[in-house]
Amino acid sequence: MKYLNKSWIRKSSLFILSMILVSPLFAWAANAVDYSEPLENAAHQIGAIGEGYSLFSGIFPEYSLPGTNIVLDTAVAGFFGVLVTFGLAWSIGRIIKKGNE
Amino acid sequence: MHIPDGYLDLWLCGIFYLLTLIVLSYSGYKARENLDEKKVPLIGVVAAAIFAAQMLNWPIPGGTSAHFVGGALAAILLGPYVGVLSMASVVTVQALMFGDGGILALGANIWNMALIDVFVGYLIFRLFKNKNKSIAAFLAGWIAITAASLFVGIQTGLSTIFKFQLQTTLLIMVIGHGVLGIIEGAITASAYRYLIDVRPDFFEKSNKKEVEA
Repeated sequence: MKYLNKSWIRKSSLFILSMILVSPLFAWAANAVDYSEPLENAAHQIGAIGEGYSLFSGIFPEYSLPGTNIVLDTAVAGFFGVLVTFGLAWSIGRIIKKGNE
Repeated sequence: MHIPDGYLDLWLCGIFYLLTLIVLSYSGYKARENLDEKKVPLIGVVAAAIFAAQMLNWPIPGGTSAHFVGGALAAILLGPYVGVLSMASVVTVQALMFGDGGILALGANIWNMALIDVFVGYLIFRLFKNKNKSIAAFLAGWIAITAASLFVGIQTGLSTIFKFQLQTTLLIMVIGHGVLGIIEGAITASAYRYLIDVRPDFFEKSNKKEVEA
């Protein structure tokens, strides 16, 4: 069997895409319980920190896009995130492989 | 587990940037010896899948949530050195694109979620894999995420900007993630079980080469 054949790539892509498609549901549910990171909750509960600061909040802060709704935001942000992560990790692999040749 | 900016002292951010760069460079060097051509796209697929899985935040009443982190699975699937690079890609994109984890804290976040999670996960898996591979994968996922949370506790505990003592931050992080880590272990074992059934060749080569390294 070829290592990453078309069928395997299709299955992997569908699996990743399905996670992205359901992610808005999780974002909506997290929003409903007023979610924040466990570490931030712990910090607030024990009064360990007054105000955090942010130097840079990202291109899509909190996995969202300005002016759209939470469902679309999360799916689009997730889609871009997956593409960029794949591209970055693959590029690192290619650079390392080239250096070895 | 992503540490935002404002939680760690600058000197700690600097130390963990430095330590992370050293270990990542070493991993890149070791990965050169182990990486085979056909595995290159798999690094991207694993990173993309882990990124997507981390978006699935399971809400827990009380205003918190848990998500799969995936370092141990990356280690088992890709080997430690390549796994580290794959996980570091995920954590970097999360910080730069989505502000998930601070820029100053990025070194510490990569240290915890990429280096510790991956290397501890790999060591635990190797330690127990001859007894039972599924249990080894479960323990790898569970212990590795707990070890990563231990480092979050140490980093925030040592930080003067985070006004709480080391033993308190350690307790909060380790107990919390030690419990949630059972889910991480279960997902790691299930994913491993599925992949080794459908694609045993993914594991044979990578692990053999890493053992030889």
